[in-house]
Amino acid sequence: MKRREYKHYKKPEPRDENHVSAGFAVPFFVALAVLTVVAFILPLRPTRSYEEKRELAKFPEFSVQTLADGAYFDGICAWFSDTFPGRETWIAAASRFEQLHGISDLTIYGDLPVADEIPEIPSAVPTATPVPTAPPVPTATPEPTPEPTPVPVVETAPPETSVEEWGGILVDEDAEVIFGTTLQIGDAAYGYFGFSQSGCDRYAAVISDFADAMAEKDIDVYSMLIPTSVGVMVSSEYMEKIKCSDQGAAITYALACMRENVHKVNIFNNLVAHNDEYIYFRTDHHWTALGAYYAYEAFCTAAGKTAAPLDSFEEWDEGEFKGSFYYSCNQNSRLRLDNVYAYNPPGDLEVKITAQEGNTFPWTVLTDMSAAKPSSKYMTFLAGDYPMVSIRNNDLPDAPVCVLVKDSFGNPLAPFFTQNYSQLYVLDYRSYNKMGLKAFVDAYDVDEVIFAQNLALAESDGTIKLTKSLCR
Amino acid sequence: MVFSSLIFLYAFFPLSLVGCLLFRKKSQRNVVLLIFSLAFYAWGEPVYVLLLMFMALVAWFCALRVLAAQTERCRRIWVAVSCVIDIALIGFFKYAGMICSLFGPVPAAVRSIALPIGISFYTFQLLTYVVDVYRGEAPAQKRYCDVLLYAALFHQCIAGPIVRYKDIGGELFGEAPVRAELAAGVSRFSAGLAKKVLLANPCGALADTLIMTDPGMNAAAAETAVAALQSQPVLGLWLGVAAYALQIYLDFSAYSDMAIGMGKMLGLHYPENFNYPYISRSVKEFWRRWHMTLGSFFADYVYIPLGGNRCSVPRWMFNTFAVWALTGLWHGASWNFVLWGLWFFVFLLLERAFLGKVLEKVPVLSNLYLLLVVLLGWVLFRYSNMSVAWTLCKCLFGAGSGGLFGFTAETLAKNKMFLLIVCALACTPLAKNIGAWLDRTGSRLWTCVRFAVIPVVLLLVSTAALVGASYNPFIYFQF
Repeated sequence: MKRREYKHYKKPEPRDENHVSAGFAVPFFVALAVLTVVAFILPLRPTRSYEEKRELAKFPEFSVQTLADGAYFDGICAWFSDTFPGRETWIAAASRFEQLHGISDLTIYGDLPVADEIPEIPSAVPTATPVPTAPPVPTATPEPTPEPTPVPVVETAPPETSVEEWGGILVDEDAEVIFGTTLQIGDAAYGYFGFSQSGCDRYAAVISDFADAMAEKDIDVYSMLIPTSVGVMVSSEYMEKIKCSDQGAAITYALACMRENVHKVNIFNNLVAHNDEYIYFRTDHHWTALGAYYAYEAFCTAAGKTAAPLDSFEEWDEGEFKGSFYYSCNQNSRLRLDNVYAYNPPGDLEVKITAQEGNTFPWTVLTDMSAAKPSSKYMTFLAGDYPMVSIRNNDLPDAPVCVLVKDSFGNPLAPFFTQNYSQLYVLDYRSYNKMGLKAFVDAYDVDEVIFAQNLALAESDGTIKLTKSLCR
Repeated sequence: MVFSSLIFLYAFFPLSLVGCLLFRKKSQRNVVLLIFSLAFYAWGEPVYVLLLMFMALVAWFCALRVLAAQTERCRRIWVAVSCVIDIALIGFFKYAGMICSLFGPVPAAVRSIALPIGISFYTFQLLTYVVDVYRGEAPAQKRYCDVLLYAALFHQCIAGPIVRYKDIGGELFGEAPVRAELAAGVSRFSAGLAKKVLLANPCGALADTLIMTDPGMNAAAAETAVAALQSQPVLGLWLGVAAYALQIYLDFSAYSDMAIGMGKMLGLHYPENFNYPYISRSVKEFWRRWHMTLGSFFADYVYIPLGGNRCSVPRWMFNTFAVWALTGLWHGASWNFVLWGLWFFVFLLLERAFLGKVLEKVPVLSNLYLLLVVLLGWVLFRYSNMSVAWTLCKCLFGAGSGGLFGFTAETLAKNKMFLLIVCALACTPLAKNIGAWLDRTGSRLWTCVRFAVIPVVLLLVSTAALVGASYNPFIYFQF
């Protein structure tokens, strides 16, 4: 067969469809052009997200290596999209659109982990059975250590900028994982809680060991495990359905695992008794100051102290609050926004904040955050998470000295304790590392140590290690 | 850079469009289009853009040699040279690891070979160019830049449709003028964008939650995936597989829609790539509607040259087997893709033997049959780790420990109920038929809504979803 040689292209087929005037495309091109221009007005591009509490992607630095492996252009793409002008408005709009996806009386953000069964109390509680140990091996006598002395501090003037600039809530990997799964039920969000038996056992052992060591010095050690909102605010039937572990049972188990030198403070029942009040935030994983007050009340009852009445504190209204869950739920508009109320303690109080680098500066128990961004309101308590905050109550010179070991749940709790102690040292176990707690109690002549930690965090590996390290 | 990224939408796309529309002469427009196409490709593959240029060079040169050759033998040799070089290069960059794995552990040097973006698409396009010139179905291109433009054209270079040279050459390089269809192009482009961003992406997220992502050859990750799948309830797994099926179709067809839309804006008509494949009633019909440009490529350049169906039954079986093994292999350098291709081969044999006639008589059952075959096929497609794929297949039929329905799956189903319904409807011609009916009414209001209002709304809502997608609540969770 003779091969034909084509010199011309196949003629385009006549097309009858789509003969629509180009004028109809004008609105699209106008929208495209406006947004293109806006996208290139660099001053409109945000550099930080206050809502997400992070720096946004930066324009990448050029190098031949990043150019060749594609990272440079990927970086530009990330910068272009992460810092898009009006990003928060776009995100809120997208969230509204996403709510049309289905019926969302309950929404799960993240994966539901599998929790351990909570053992029966007290049969499953490990008893102190003597374990045969190897004969002691003589060890070299340790060098005598110098008498513990308080770490020298550098006094500085308080920062001149607002707390929003220099304060902050500590980022913690455990917290990321633990509060990573969020359940939105109606207008409130909750962090999933799954019981970890080994975590509770290990945590109880750390606190018990420390309490045993303190018993020799006649120092009282209290353990107060703080439940999260899902355990207190959501009914047992619903908890069963969403496979959340019962935090009341978990706290009872953890406290039962602690030895007799630990004064166990079970605040769970007092919180449940008030769960018709505003004791947990709906858009944040923390409790409110009112919730912290009921815990303080339960503590005082257990410790034989007199709780200061709530009306002796001055109530501050810090205004609208959008917490962490608000962002983990993609700013879901069904969430009812919160309001932060804080209780300013009465009395002649001297507060000193010690920052990470050891500098100390005077401050106040509460900070007025009413003008701050809605996402920053929780920083009103102790200005956020600092390694150490010391509060002296000059009105109570004869009252005992106390150390409060806490995570950020302890921030609204500390103001209430100022009414029962002459000196309160608030240590954040995640960042305080100047000296071990055993040396600290000697150096600062401490009478009581209170561990007020959030249950979900307390049973996590990182918290146990950090607490153990602090209790050295 | 992908079409559904903000930098494409609000930097690359408007600039390229303005650049092209500024020039009325095709030759000038093509220069602009080539510059943008190379920039687009280099953005994702700063080094491999040289490979694309080299392969286009080979195709350009061989096609000219085919044209200049005096004898049929010479012409065949030059076609063969082009095919061998193309196939060797795609073999090296895409399949070296898979081939090495046949003989033992894959050397680190081979593992480090990165797959150039879109190599499967542009290799096939270049093959069609040389073969079409050889067959005398299209003229050879004198200018290298034009062959390069045909291969690199950013509309379809990295994700199809596979546009044959003979189909697009006239509009791209011919003397006949082309008319830009801006309104139709905008309508199609915005529909594709929304399909990808608003429908496919959430379906993908749902599938990832319910049936896990592919753990690859990571043994620990595979063990975790197997355990997770075994603990999922049966209906949750089916929902996950269905969400994945929706994601694949909506995602892939959305890219084709965007490419076709962008082409129309410049007066270029790319072939349709999908024709509502999930409404098919047999595997044979499904493959006439799914990735049509790939199917017709294999039909015209492999199946028919091998003899097609005008041969003995064993030969036809071999031809069909070859096509489906290659179809599977084209999708990815992993054995699960080959199995996926052969999975359809088996059903094509059964349909030819007897099943096809039965299916014609049972309308609804035949639809269910097709969906079942395709959904199980997607399980093979998703996991390169066969133990995970096998676990999922077993658990879909009740071999797991998660029961029939679980709370998480029930919650997710409720949360995404309307989305899934919309996605399912988007897989049918319902919207198209309603649009056609409204078109027939000749209503100017409808024309205005269709071409002026809907595209803007879709663009804005998609933009919102894309800005939100850059926000990762887990990593930056604050305590």
